[in-house]
Amino acid sequence: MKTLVVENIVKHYDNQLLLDDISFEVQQDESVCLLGPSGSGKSTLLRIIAGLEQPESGRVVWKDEDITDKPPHQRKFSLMFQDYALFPHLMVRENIAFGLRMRGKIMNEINPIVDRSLAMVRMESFGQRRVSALSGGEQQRVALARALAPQPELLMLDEPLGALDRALREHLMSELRALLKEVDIPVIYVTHDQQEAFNIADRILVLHDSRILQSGKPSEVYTRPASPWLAEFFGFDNQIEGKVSKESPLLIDTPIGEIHSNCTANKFSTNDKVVLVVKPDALRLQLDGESEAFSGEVLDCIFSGGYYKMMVDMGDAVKFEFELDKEFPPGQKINFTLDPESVICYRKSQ
Amino acid sequence: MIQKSNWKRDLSILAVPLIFLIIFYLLPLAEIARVTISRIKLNEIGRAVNWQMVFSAFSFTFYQATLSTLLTIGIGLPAAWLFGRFKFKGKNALRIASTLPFILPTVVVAAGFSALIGPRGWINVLLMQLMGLTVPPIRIMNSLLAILLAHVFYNTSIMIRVVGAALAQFDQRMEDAARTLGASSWQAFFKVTFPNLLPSILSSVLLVFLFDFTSFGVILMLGGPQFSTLEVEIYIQTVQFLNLPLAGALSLIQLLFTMLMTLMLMRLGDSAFADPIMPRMQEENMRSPRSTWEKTFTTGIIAILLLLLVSPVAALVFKSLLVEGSQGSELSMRYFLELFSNRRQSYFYVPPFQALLNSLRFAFVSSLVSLFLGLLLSYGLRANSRFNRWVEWLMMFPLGTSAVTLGLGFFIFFFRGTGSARWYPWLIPMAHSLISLPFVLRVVQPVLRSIPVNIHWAAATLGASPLGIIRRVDLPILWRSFMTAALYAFTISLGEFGATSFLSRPDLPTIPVAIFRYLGLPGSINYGQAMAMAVIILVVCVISMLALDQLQYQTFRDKA
Repeated sequence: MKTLVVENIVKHYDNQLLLDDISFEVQQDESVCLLGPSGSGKSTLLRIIAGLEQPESGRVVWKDEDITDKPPHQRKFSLMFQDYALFPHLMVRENIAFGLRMRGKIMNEINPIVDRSLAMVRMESFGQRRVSALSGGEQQRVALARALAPQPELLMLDEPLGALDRALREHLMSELRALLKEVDIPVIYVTHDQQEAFNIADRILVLHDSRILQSGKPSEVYTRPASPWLAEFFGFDNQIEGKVSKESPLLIDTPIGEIHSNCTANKFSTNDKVVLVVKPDALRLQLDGESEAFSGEVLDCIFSGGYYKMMVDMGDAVKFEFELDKEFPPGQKINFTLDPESVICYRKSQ
Repeated sequence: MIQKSNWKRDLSILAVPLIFLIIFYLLPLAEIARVTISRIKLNEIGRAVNWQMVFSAFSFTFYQATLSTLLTIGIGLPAAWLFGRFKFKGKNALRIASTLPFILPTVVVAAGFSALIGPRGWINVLLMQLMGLTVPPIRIMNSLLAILLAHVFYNTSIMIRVVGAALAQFDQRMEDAARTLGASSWQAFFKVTFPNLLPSILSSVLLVFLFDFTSFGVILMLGGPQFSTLEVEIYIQTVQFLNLPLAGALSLIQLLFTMLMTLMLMRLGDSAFADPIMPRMQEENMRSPRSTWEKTFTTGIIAILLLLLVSPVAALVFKSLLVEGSQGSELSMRYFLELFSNRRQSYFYVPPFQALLNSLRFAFVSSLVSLFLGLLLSYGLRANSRFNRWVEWLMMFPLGTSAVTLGLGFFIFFFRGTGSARWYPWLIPMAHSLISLPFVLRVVQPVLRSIPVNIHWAAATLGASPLGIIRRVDLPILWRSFMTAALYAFTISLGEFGATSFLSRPDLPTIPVAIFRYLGLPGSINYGQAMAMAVIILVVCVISMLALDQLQYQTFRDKA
């Protein structure tokens, strides 16, 4: 069942186009992640769904009802803010109870819900603390409990882990994942961190240049980024332009030599101009001098925990970075081939 | 994120304060200009205005303000250094005591100095008894010295506040860095510390000069008839001679200068206005005095401050309680009890106690009005649009307008013969509201602006309606600054003398007006009553100062 439908949303900010005809749907029970670099309009989109901002055109539809003009306090959506936006004048308990009080609940109903919410985020003993006395991780939990307490019909989270340090973030990420599976409502999660998106989401929407560039399961999106920009966004920096010299199997002529690709997403014909993305796991060492092998000089080899990051001079001033389980001293010449499975081919945009 | 501008909404919120400003500020000022200029056209101005006198009033105003400012710098800068750099016993008490002059009305200060150095003052009484004299040997009342002393008493606290706070906030690691880079301690001070303090020093000096330049009550009461500043001359020309063109010309000159200084202050940044009472200072930069030189310095400055700040206040309190009888003086509440009776030879038609009630009533009304306007302005000015910046500027103008000019403007614009007598006294709280409005705005607006818009959004998504957000989020967060602003507005109104002296009627006096009158009357009962009334205001001021300090402390604690 389509629960939330966002249709053709357009929004400018300071005369800049921020959201250009954005449409997507969210199903009941689905966690959707809006992933994109900062400034891509993710948070604005959340605020439009929450009713805090008005789109210039387009509609927000909730269970077949157009709610575009409905004020935020009547929508029963919860939004957890990036810096939590806890009420500084209220205690932890009162912060969590706020949404319940606003919905007209009496104290007898509120107290057990607040207790449960505190237990859910494991903050039982913190009820009477001032929010200013909490650490970042504790504030994050209170904000989550506050967003969940009124039993919203839709939960939105705006960079909920963005303000935390890395160790805490990884710890809370798995907790959050478990919690979101528990609550039986659609979730929209905004982040710029792919790791977070992969962990949390059932589906990822990548937002860039005011449009949704790709949408799909986390594994799909990662293994087959839809454009060179997306490939680079996911950290695939080895890119080179070339021209198709053979259609099947696909062979591309590049300044550093001919490269095979098993890319089947598009049909290419001879002489098409293309961009190749070579993933960092593409390198296969070649010990006996095979004719098709590349040769390059190791520029740098850095231990990165579990693997080595190796910078290789591919010739013609092109440098590629690979991930390897072996260390090579800088200056060493190596021979290798590139696995066609790990080479993605894109038509060059005009 | 900045609030989006929505000029229609903003304008509807700002309409009331803007209309208030037009009626009670712009139109009265325009009327002064109109009356003055129309007389110039009629060529009557040559007869009405004695330019010689205008020039001498102006040059004396400038002269005494310069002297007062220099003296204040002489005591204020070392005192700022004391507060910004050193820990010592009783620092907190001295800090609170040094904020008292900031809210003490001029009439109370004048009464205090009169109790200390006046012909009936303690020093003279003591000397007369010791030396068996029949006339007071010290005659600094009605002299320039008395004016200067009172000004130093008043304004030292400003320098402590502005420069001391800047010094306490100054990152001393910069000085340390300079030292490790090879600077001597003097070089580090002059090349690093001093340049960083300069803006706050300049703005405090300018502010002190502005206050000295527009000083009215102190000069009228401690200077006596031979000293006339622009302010005093405006008052005398209006009230005694009804020479409105001359008073108007004087106040236009005054306005020109005060506006100029206010604009300079605003350009310097508004550190001087930003936190109206003495801020709590971070303790990081503080240490106990170590060397002999430092110990001598701190002891000396503490002694001077105690003498300067405490002696006039103590003198005032004792004067009000020691009743002169035929067999010498005795402790008694008689002067206070006298406030309830209406003596036949009294200047007023009502007992002085009535003046206290009037003052409280006016203070209550004016704090309500200025809080209401301040809240509307703070809400209307949240967006950072050009129109709003313009309104914000406009609202600061009353700060650069002397109270006497304001009083004259009200007098010229609103006085419509005897028929207006009935509603005329209600102009007093309006004038007071106008004077305290910039302060209220400075207290409330930054706090409202500092509430992140996220918090409003969070409340909205949790189901709070727009009014619910104001009631459940904004007001609870604002209440402390609201109380602070209310206390300011109340004490400002309670002690306001300059504008009130134009607007009060003999049957509806305020307490500062009553003190002024009673100080000028012969007889020890009248004098004692003036002292008693001054003590009552003093007590109110001390209470509100302690409350202000407590409010400030809670805010400080929450931030820490």
